[in-house]
Amino acid sequence: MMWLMFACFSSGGSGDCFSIDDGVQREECLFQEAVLLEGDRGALADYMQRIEDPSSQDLLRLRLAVRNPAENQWLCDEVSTRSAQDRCRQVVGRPHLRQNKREDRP
Amino acid sequence: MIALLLALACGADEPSVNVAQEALAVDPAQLSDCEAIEFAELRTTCQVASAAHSAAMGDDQGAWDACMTIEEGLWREECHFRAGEELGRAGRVIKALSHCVRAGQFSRNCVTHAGWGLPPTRSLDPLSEDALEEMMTLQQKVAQVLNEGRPGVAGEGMDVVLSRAWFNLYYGTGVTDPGVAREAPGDHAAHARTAFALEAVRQVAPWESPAPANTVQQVVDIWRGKKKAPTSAPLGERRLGRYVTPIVPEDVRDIPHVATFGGGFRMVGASPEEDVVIAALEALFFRETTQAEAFVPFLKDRRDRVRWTAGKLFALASGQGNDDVNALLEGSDEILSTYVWQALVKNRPGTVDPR
Repeated sequence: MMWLMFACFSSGGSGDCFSIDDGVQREECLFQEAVLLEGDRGALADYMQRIEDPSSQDLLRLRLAVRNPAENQWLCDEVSTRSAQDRCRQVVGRPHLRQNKREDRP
Repeated sequence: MIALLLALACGADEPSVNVAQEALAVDPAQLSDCEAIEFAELRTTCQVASAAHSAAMGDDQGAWDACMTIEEGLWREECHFRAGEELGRAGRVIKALSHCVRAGQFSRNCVTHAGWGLPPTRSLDPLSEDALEEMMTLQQKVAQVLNEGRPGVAGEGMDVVLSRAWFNLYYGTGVTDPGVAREAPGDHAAHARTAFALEAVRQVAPWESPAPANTVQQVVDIWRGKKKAPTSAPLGERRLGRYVTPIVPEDVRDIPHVATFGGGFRMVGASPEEDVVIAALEALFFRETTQAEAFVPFLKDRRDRVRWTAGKLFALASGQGNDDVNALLEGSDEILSTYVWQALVKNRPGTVDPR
């Protein structure tokens, strides 16, 4: 059983989040975990790599960039899907958002 | 067997719907589509995009509806900024400014972008009887909207709108009659002279040939009524010019400045006639084919503001590595040196489209 759990955790992202069947709740779980890594680019990048679905990766990148454009805009440079690239333009195409340091978050 | 165990343990049954893909694919043009998005951040960007879309269509109410669905804070301010920009681009400047004053920290950027969207009034030129009255009415409308905004925004917004309105009245119309500019009162006066000088330089020094050495003097003579105001066919749609980097050294902050095209500022002269000289120098720079040498005769002008303006424009037109520019940097006129230095450091040459 331990072997199975290890195999599961090491093949995907967070074992806890990936065990959630409901897609919305799973994305929410990934987001909450990623928020804890904000400010640590390396850890955040590693976390992203552990998610296999490119749309899920991009959704997470976009959400983090919108949540805190000043800190997380760089994540938009790494989105791979066309739809995420389009949406990211609303963040990266607006340099004044990068200068924002406030705590207003959607 | 191992694969089956792994699949079961990891919950590898992919859900039939990929919620991430779905959320990213929502077309943000419709506000109603945004509501269905599960994730707050995407819902917000959808609402901002919807506001911008409505504003671009000239639908002010649609833009308001979209922005007001967003929680107060950064993204609602961004929403009003986007709506202000788009309404400005669509020519609905008063509506645009009403969004700008609610754009919080982005208000100043917004009023600048929106102000330049003011379209020309086709039936109006400097000879129109109601030209001045139209300008005053516009000023009142703009003041009414901008007074609801943050301190500082009203002044900056008014500066940009008046600059644009006078530009529209004169530039490219083919009319250089200085009458209405001479009558322009208060906050209008310097903007009126800027615009008059732009059109006068366009007539006196057509872009396709070298500017006459006495271009500035000719503009002053037209202003004084000593030279007949030339006329020509209207310019048409292309009303582009060379962009002047905004340069206002610390030492001259107390001297009045006014907005010029594309975000620059020019110093206002100590008297109306001195101001026409400064406006004519700036107009020469706006003229893309003007060489740096055109400003040289004014580098030793006895009038400080004329000399400093000429120094700024000379440095902007020359760029770095020019011996004459270096000489100015080492000269005894400290303010002139500062202007030249800042012109070299901040220079962002290019053409701006004030439309």
